[in-house]
Amino acid sequence: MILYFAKTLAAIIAIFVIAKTTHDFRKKKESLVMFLFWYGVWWGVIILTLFPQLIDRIFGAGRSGVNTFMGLVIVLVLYLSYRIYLKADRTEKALQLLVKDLAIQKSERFFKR
Amino acid sequence: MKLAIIMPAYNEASVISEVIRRIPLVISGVLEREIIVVDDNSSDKTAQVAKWAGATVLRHHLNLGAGGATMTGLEYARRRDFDIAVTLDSDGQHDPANIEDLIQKIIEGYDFVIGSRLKGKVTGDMPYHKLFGNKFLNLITFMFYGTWVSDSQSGFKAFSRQAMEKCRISNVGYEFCSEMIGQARRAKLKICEVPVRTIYTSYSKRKGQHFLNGFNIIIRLTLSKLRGNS
Repeated sequence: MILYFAKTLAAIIAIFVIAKTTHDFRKKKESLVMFLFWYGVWWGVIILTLFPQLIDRIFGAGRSGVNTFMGLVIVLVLYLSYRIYLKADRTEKALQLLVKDLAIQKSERFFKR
Repeated sequence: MKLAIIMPAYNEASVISEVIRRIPLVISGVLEREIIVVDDNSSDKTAQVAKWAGATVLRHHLNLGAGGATMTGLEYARRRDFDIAVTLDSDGQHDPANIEDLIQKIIEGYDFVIGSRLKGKVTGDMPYHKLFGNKFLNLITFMFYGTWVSDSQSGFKAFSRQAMEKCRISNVGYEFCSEMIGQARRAKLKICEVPVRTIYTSYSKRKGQHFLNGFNIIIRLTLSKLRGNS
């Protein structure tokens, strides 16, 4: 039961991300290459979520410690996501400050004239 | 008293001059007033139209969101020593005649006044999904910040000088409304609500927040709490 719930949730999240990527691409916020990359990645996630036995078929379960390897990859991906999130957050904050200051400074220069 | 009327705006060229025109020239208790339009990188002629209508225009070089534009306006008001600041939506959904009601509360000694679209007799025809969304976000605001207000997402607010100094939000999207209420409470500012008239036109209904944006607000408020910013 829990497994079915987890599968459904993962598929819904993936579909949501695909919809968002498509929307961004249509609004020209994302390049064609990036759109195709994420589109492929998330469809892959949906397929592997619904048919996890495919992982065993691709990698050959029980023969090469693939489960351990996949676990390590997930941890690495989570860590990288965290680092990217932090970096994006700091950059966003710095940009916000710059945009605000620039808007006010421009008007102050106007008043000094 | 010097009053700053701050109007965050994004692609409002078709209505902003009319909203500016409706702002009363004389407001009781106010000696000097300045209308400040913060153009959040609109792709239409919002900035030019607002300037022609007599407003001071601050233009963002990037689109930050309603919270970012409001904070730019408040920062400008702080730097230019305004005594009171009022924020007002540029889409025409707020009746500028209510500015005086908000100002009077500040003069009476309140620091942070919310113009509530849902307090008392609800005027205008707020769509049911928006009504539900607003009440849901009131609950979220209460859960995050422990303050119950009838219209946490209202963009019609008044700030005393002290409130301008204390309310320095970190969120730039619509979630800034909830964060601001939290900051006002933390700074022990005197908060009150005043019923305001809402003018719902097909334009202002179209321009408002999407119902699903409520989930974005919850996610951003949670992240903001985790980062310790609010």
